[in-house]
Amino acid sequence: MVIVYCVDDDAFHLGKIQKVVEKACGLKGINDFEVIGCKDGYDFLAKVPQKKPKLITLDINMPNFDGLSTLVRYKVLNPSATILMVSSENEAVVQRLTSKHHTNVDPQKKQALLKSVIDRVKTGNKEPGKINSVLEAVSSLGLDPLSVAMKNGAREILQKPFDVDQASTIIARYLT
Amino acid sequence: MEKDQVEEFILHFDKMELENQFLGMENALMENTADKQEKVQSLFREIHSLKGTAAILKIPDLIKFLHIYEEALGVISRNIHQLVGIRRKDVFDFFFRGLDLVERLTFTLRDSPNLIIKNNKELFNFYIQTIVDAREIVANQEVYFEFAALDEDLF
Repeated sequence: MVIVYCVDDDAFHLGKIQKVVEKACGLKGINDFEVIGCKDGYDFLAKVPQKKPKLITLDINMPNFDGLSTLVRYKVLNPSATILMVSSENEAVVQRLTSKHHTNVDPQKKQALLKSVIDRVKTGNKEPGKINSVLEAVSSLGLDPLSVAMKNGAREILQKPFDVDQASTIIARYLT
Repeated sequence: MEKDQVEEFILHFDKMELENQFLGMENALMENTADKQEKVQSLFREIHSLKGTAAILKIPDLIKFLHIYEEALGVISRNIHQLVGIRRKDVFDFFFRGLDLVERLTFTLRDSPNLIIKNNKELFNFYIQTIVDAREIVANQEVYFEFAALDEDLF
C-alpha cells in the first residue's frame, strides 16, 4: 500500500492537498493507497512510526511544530524520506519585505546562528530561553524559508494555491 | 466568480474572533507580556491561512488585500524578537480597519459576485486607502515600531 502523509494545520487546506494526492494516485493507477492527514509536525511525528510513508507533504507555517522544524527532525529519523514543502506563493517576498533589521548580522553569521537552531531541533530537545523552531529562526534572521527547506532535504516546493492538475502531476512523479 | 465561493470564504472568516485576537495582541505588545510572541504568531497564522483560503477559492480582490495585510502583520510577527516598543499606537487601528474591509468586501461580493470593485466608489476608496496604509506600515516600519539589535544568545 502507498502511504502519503499530508501535514497542514488548516483543515480546508489539508482537504485540498489530500484531494490532489488522491488525484495523483489515480494518475499513476495506484488503487491501494492511504492519505493520512496530520494537523502539525508533532501529530505527524506521532503517527508516522505506524505506517512508513512513500511521500510527505509539509505546510511551512504551522503551530506547535512548523514545517521546517518537522523537515529537519524527520530527516534525522528517516534520511531517505521524500518530502515536498507546501508554501504560499509570496513567502519569499513577505520575508524580504518584512525583515529589514538584520543588517548588523553578516550572512555567514546568520547561517551559523541558523545552524545552531537546526542542530538543536534535530535532537528533538527544546532548550528554554532559546529559539526552538527553524521557521522562527529563519524569520528572525530574515532568511528565505524555501531556500532553507531545499538545503535541508526537501525535494520540491508546491506553491499554493494549487492548480490541481499541475500539483497532482508533480506529486505523481514521486509515487513511482 | 460564483456566489458559493464567497460563501465558502465567509465560513472561514470569523471577524469577531479575529478582533479578539488583535485586541489580545495589542495588549500583549503594549504591556510586553510573556505571551506576546505566541499571540502574534497565532494571529499571523490565522491571517496566513485566510489568505490561502481566498487564493484557493480564487477571490481576486480578497487575495490582493490579504497579501498586503499579511505583510503588515508580518512586520510584527517576523521581527518579534527585535520588537521592543510601539512608537505609534494607531498602527493597531489599521488592523481593525483591515478586518472591516474584509467583511465589507466579502458581503458585497456575496450579494454581487460579478461586481467590479471600482464601480462601488465608496468601497473602492476604502479598499485603496487600506492597502496604502498597509504599504506605509511595511515601508516605514521604524515609524511605528521600535526595534533592537538581534540577540544572538537566542540561537
